[in-house]
Amino acid sequence: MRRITGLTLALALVLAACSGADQGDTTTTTTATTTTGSDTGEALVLYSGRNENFVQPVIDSFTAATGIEVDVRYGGTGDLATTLTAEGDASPADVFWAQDPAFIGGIAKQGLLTELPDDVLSLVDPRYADAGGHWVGITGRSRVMVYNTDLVAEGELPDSVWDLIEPEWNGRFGVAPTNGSFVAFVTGMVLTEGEERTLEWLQGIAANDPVIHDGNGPIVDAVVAGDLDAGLVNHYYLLQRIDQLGEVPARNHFFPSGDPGGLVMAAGAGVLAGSDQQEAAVDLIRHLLSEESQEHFLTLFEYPLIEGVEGPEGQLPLAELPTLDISLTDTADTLEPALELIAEAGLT
Amino acid sequence: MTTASPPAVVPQRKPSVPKRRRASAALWVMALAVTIPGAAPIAHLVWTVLRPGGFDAGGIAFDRLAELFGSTTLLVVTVTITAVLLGTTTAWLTTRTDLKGRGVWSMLVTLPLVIPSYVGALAMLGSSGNGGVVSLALDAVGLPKLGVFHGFWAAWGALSLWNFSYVHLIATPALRRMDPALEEAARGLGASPRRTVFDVILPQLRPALLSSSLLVALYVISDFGAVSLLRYETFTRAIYTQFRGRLDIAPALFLSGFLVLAALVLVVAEQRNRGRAGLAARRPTRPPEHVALGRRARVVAYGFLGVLVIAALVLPLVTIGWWAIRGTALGNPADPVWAEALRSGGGAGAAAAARAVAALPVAILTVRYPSRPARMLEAVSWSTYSLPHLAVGLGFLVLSIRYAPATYQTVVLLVIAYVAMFLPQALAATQAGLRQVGPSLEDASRSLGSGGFTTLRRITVPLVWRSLLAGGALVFLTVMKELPATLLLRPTGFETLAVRIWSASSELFYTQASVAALTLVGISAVPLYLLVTKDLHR
Amino acid sequence: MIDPETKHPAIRLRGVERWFGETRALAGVDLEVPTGALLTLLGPSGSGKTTALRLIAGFDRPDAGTIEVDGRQVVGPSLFVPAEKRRVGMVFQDYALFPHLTVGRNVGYGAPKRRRAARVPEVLELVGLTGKAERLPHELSGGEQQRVALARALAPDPEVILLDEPFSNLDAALRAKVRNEVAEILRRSGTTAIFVTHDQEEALSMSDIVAVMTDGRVVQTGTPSELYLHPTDSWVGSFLGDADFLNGHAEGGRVATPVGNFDSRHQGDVTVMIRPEAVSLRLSEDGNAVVRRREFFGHDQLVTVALADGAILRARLGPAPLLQPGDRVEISVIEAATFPRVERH
Repeated sequence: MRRITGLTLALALVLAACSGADQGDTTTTTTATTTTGSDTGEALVLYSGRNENFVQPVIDSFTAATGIEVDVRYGGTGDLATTLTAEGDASPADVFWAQDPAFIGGIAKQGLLTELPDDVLSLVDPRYADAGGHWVGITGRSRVMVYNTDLVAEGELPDSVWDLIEPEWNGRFGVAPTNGSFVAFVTGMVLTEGEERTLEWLQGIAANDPVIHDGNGPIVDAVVAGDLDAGLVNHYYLLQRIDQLGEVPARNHFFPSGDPGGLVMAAGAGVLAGSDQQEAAVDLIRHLLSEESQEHFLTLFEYPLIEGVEGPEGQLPLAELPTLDISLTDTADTLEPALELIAEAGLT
Repeated sequence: MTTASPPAVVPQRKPSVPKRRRASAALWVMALAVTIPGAAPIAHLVWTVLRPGGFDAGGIAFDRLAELFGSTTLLVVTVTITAVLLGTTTAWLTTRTDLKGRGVWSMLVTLPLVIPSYVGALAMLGSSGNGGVVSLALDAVGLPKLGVFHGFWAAWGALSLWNFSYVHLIATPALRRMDPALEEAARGLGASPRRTVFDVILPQLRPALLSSSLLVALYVISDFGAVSLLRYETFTRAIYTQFRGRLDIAPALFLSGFLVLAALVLVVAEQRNRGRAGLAARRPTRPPEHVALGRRARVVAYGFLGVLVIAALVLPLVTIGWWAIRGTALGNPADPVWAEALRSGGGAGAAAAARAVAALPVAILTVRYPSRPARMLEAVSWSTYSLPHLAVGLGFLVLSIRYAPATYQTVVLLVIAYVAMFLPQALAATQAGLRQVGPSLEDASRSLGSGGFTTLRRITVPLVWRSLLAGGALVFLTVMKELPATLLLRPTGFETLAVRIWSASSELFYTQASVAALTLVGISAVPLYLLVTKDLHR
Repeated sequence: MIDPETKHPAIRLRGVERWFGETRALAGVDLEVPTGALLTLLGPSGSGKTTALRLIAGFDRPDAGTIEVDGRQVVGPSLFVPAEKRRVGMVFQDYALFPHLTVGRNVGYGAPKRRRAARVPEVLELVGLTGKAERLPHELSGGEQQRVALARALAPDPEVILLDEPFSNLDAALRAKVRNEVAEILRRSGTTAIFVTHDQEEALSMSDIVAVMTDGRVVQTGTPSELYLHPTDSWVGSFLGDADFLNGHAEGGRVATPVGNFDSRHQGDVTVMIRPEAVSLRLSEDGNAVVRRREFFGHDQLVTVALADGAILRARLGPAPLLQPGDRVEISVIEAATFPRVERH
């Protein structure tokens, strides 16, 4: 008798594995009324890998102009990309806005993004859009080395990221190897240097006692505070800190053209193929590429990608940034290898 | 009439607690309905690992697993030992010594519970390093600045500081209930004070220490925010790294499944151990004696408590307060977080209410109709509680996308997940309440003509109402702080305080993070205060 | 008052068995309680009396047997009437007063809605608690709580009231008083009642009928004096009060013993039970017994004597005779009970 009840329970558990989530409905229906209208087909759903300060003002202006509500799910680009992958066709998202080309490229490769109309794609330099037209760059972000001017002498500044695996940089710099922007930088490196050399560099970095962070922000803050000499980050973090705190003892150092350290990444957006509001979704992207929106991004020191809006004050203009002879579209193909190489090098 | 042989008195167990009573089918249905949703993702995760080929499909190298296992174990063991030592000491000092202001101290060492470990970690980051609050203060008096807290020692410190209060909470009533007569008996039989501690006091504390150790250990396993912020690699952080770093959820699911298995082993081990440890609860005839501390011991004790309260409560509050004020003064964006507060409070409130209601059938089943299936049901719900929320959240995420898309990213699913994760908290409180309501009250109601449901409504619920509230308050407190599952399962746009703190701190917008953190701490303090005053100062 | 006119008993148990796992709590209980009677289930702890009570109340199901209440079967093969439908009231050992309800609402809890307003003062008056309706249970003394519990059980006008060790929570001084009050209230209300107790004095003093239980069986049922004077065996005899036993051989309805000849209901080898109250002693140089021990209680004394053959008897005497150990005495016994001799194992 006991055995039978035990068996029944075990069976119930297995069954639950298949149907658990909706069984619970009945117990909590009273709270259902507070559900937001995310899947009612009314509001657009934007998965944003960009943070709220960056995104919300342009969303508000979009809603004011079109009357279309937008629900924004903020998260890490990688978090959201994995979520989109897991959701597949069932995704409630209409638009995905990533920080880096690699992850959105990966989503495009899975066939989850629809092709954007030409009038949208033609707004930006083709270098900053998907070759297949599945995503378009909204802003440009340059990889740089931020350094503390008290701790790093001008003459010490490296000419290449390869210098960072040398003993003189041991323990002096920070990286955020799990952050999307670092991963994107490695995807570019795989394209220019090949997998073997990239692994060599990653292992060299890992062996050079780097300070590991989860994001760029903490690295920049550590450099600004003088806790850390230097770090591989995106260019705008430091500019934002200067804007908030005034003059700080830190500078951005750009690697020369051709060095993998100098990748300029497009933070792109695309429309989900499964979206039932394609038109509104494209309108949203169009809005992101409007002059008004691009001016807003400029206040946060990213590079606008449309014609007629200048780059951040006191920084190299977009056209004069060091270049790397790769297609951002191809970074989607090197995403898997890049992730594997980072893991293999033990950078976590 | 039969004739019995003369009094060969056969000792028989008197069924004082009526055994083998049969629970109604409706009760079972309700109990299962509230337990199964929580068990489903667990079953799914375990299946992910144990299914044929699951290990290969996980794509995680064995070396990596071993490494994670090692680093996680190290943290779990050290933090558990530290927290138990700290919590037992504070409990002893505030119940069994003649220190002044014991009630206030007890309250002060309980209050760190309002500080989620990730807020604590954030405060540690904000106080150390060149720009940190403590560093600046040290600098001002000519002392060297603190280096940035990170890595093992930082994680150990943070998790110990913001967990020892659980031990304090559990050990305090255990120490208070201890019958001083037992200690006196030991002393009377010639045992030294030291031997008395080891032979009499510790064995009585054993169940409390065991269960609080388990609580702390499971918390450390599941901690996500603090280890991420302080950069110490554990299983849970690795799960998140996999989740955010890959375009594939499988490796994260695999690691989650693995972690769930490890946590289950821990839970089962504790249950077995507890089964053997069962000590008859004695009701002491008088309150315990207070040990008179010598002058030097008194100074040490005040110093210990003071340092602990400063480190676990004052410093983090000062740090986040300082960041909030400094940021606002500098004109940094520090929008009010009322909407988030409302969502946090609303979500937590809904979960607490749903949980308290859901706990009732399971509590009735386990207390009034003890049986093996009922115990299994209880164990299942405990196991959900003890598992890392990130893993459970991933399980819910995958299951709802696949099998219940209508609930995906809805408050309904979020509340179900909360309910599943925190069932035992409310359960324990409700069970305790039910045990105090003698079954004879329900029998009395039945014999006076009331059916099962009427009895529940008119007698049982009114009498366990306070316990339900206490359980609800505990759930409220925990849900307010919950981060990883909320991050994964929240409806789009449903930014809670915890999510806000997390996203702001990962971008290092200290001002925003600190305003949200202060709000969270303020709101959490209310239910905690109610709980503490209820449990400790009565 | 037992009502001889009623055709069926208020409660009838037949072959009731109850197992708790491997333990047999009830081993086939047969019991009839006449309408209007005050019956006590008396037995040592673990004898199954509380289990029997819970089965009658409907809080538990027997594994075999039938139960009838007022001629209506409530438990039988594939029949189980739940507690709330049995019209059986219960007074609990711990009273089980609902702590969150006032006395009035406690008492009114089970009363029919229509008659509640009238019924509550009525029963409160019956138990002598008029004016306490607004109190909360914990504001009352133990004895008053006891009476509230009784009033609450009486309010729905049940066929039978069950009382589970109802006086065990009262101190000794109060117990006798409350006991009489309760018996009086029950008799006045004409309700059939079953008490459970392990206290012989309580059982004998207040019941119309006593059923003695041991090892899950009812071993003897009868009026208190019948039981006391003519127990069915030595166990019941010594359970109900002090008793000493001699061996004897009965023939022709008489049995001869060293302390006299007595009537016997049994033939052959018998055990003769002698209660200390039936024994009197007289100092005598050529008496047939010697005083061994003397316990003095004030209102009486218990004197232990040894017969020539080594057998021991006790005598309960008034306080006056001053007997010392070693004194030789003459014994006379006014009555004795016999039952067939069973060899002790």
